[in-house]
Amino acid sequence: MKKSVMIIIGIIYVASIVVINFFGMKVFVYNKTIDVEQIVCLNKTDEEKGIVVSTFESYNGETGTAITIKFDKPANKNLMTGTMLQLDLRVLPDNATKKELSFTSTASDEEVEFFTDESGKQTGLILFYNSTSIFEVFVKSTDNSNVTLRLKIWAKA
Amino acid sequence: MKGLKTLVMMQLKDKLDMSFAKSVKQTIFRVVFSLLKFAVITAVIYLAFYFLSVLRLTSLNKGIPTNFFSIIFSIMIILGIVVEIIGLNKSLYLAKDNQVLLTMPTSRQTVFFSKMIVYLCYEFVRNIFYIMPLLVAYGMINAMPIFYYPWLIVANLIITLFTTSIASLLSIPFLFLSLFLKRVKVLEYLVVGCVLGGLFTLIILVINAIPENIDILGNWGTIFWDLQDVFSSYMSKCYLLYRFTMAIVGFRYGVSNVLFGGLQMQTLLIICAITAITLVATYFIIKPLYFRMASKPFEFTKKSHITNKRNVFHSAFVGSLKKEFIMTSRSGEKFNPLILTTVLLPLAIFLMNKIFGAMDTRLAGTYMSLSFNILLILLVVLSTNAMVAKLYSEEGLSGFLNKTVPAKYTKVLFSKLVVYAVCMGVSILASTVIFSAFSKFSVLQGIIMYLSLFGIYLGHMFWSASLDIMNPQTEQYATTGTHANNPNETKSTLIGFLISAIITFIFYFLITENANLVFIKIFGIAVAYFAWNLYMYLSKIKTFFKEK
Repeated sequence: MKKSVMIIIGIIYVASIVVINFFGMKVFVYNKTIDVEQIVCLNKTDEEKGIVVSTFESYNGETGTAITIKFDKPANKNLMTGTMLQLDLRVLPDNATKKELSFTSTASDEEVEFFTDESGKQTGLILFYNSTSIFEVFVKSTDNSNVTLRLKIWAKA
Repeated sequence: MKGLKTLVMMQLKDKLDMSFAKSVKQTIFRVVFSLLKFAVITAVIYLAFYFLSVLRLTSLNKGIPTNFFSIIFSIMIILGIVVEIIGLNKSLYLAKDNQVLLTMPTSRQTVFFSKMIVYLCYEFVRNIFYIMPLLVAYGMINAMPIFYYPWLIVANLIITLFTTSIASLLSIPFLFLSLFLKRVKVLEYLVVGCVLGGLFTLIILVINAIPENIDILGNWGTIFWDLQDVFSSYMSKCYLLYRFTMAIVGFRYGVSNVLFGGLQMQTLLIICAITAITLVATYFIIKPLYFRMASKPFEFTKKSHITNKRNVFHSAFVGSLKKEFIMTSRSGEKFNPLILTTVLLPLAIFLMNKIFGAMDTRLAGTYMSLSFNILLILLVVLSTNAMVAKLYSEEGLSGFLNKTVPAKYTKVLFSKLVVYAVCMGVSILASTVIFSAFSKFSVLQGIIMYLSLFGIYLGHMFWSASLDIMNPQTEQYATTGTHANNPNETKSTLIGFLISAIITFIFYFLITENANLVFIKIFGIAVAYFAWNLYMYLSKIKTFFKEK
């Protein structure tokens, strides 16, 4: 068999696999966006750290999570010491396309700060610089679903 | 010098068909046909490159990256060197015309040089349709500057000289090895067995590496970067081959091309130096040995140890068959490709169906996979009929003895075809069993498919054989023992490809209409094709052997 014939047969052999892969496969929707449906707070009571987790019910019947933390000393962002609360959150469904969350609160900037990492992403870590009254934290999804989790937090002196 | 020129012109007349030069009309036709052939080959390669470039399959930038091109180019060069080793071996040492040329009133070195020059000319012309279209298409897709194209003519010369020099040096140990293997048959069979075993093991390893779910489109992100890793590791592990490619096509940084830079010129000089050193080394090694090497294949040492065998009387057909089987098995040139094709085709079909099985195809995809199975089986088995298309001419002048044998001519001529028919029949059977098992055909469907494919093969075989009868190339084989451009081989291969494509398309379109009747229809076409070609073959040999 001449080498050109062998080359052509080899090319057709490989091309058959490529052609069937491009034109013969079952149709799937690729890169389907899966929206966030729910954000769940998984924090539990930890008496050692002075964290108490409970549920509250608002005037319109909506329930939420309330976290009370004992304020010891102001948080130090550089040394990562002092009174800090890491929100343990789960985004549902688990295969949601965009799971990043944003955090806002009704407390003042002098009292609390949300920690951001090197890439500028908020990690859910709250740094307390002072004891606070009960304030609300809104955890929002960053995709188009506009799902929000409302938490009530109190850094008790 | 004059003797060298005479020898070169004499051999060029046989190797390159220059008969068209006698007529202006034929010359114009030949030139136009060659230009058209070059343009078509270049266009096909350019389309493939265009597809790869537009879809960004090999690079994030437009065009074809040098590393990917280098892989294709290197494979072609290595394949070219391997084929040239075999070709030079035949041309320098095993050619029948050596018996005449070496007795001419000229030095052996002149004969050697004349053969090298003829082979170089032949390879240069062949590379115009083999390497040049690839380089031109690469230049077009990457928007190379205008001076790249005239450079390719020089590049073709450099590539031809380089590959021929390497092949000529390697042909020396190859000759001794091939003669040794011819003498020790057991060793030859062992080598073929080891090669087959190695290929078999490689295929099993590849089959085991096939992922459970092949989805190129869905996993393209990962596959693309895996491919980039392969290209990068090729650049580091096969740096010499990459440098060789860069010496011809320069560098490509992103979308810009750098031609005739310092590194490219340096590499070109090194290539020229290696070529010169290799040619000189070959000459000095060959000088004391050439006469012995060129005459040895035609010398027969008398065996002192003779065993007596009982003379068994066979019928004309069985006797011819036995003779053909012994001759084919003793000729490595015929036997090895036949055995390799017989064994490798089913393995290749098995591998292909394993890959298809890992894809989640829809109904059209399943029909496509069946069609591709048929296409590949037919392409391979019909391509082997190129050997049948020179079967009778290969015997040279002794082919005329077929006219004087005291037996019916059909028995003698048929017997030559039986070995090929049996080998390919076994190969088609194994391939059909494999692809029927994967496609879940019933036993009846499998049998009908086998008979259809075998019928098409036999029909094409008889057609190829009748080509050789009606257009014998006896003179060429009688003189040199080989024929570089046997028109019968070319026609047989081209028509084989065409038939494979037609049958595949008919199958695909028929199966989409009615999946049950398609087998009967294909069988009908195969029977008609076989019957017609058998009838034509018998008519032609009846005409050719009329005196009997």
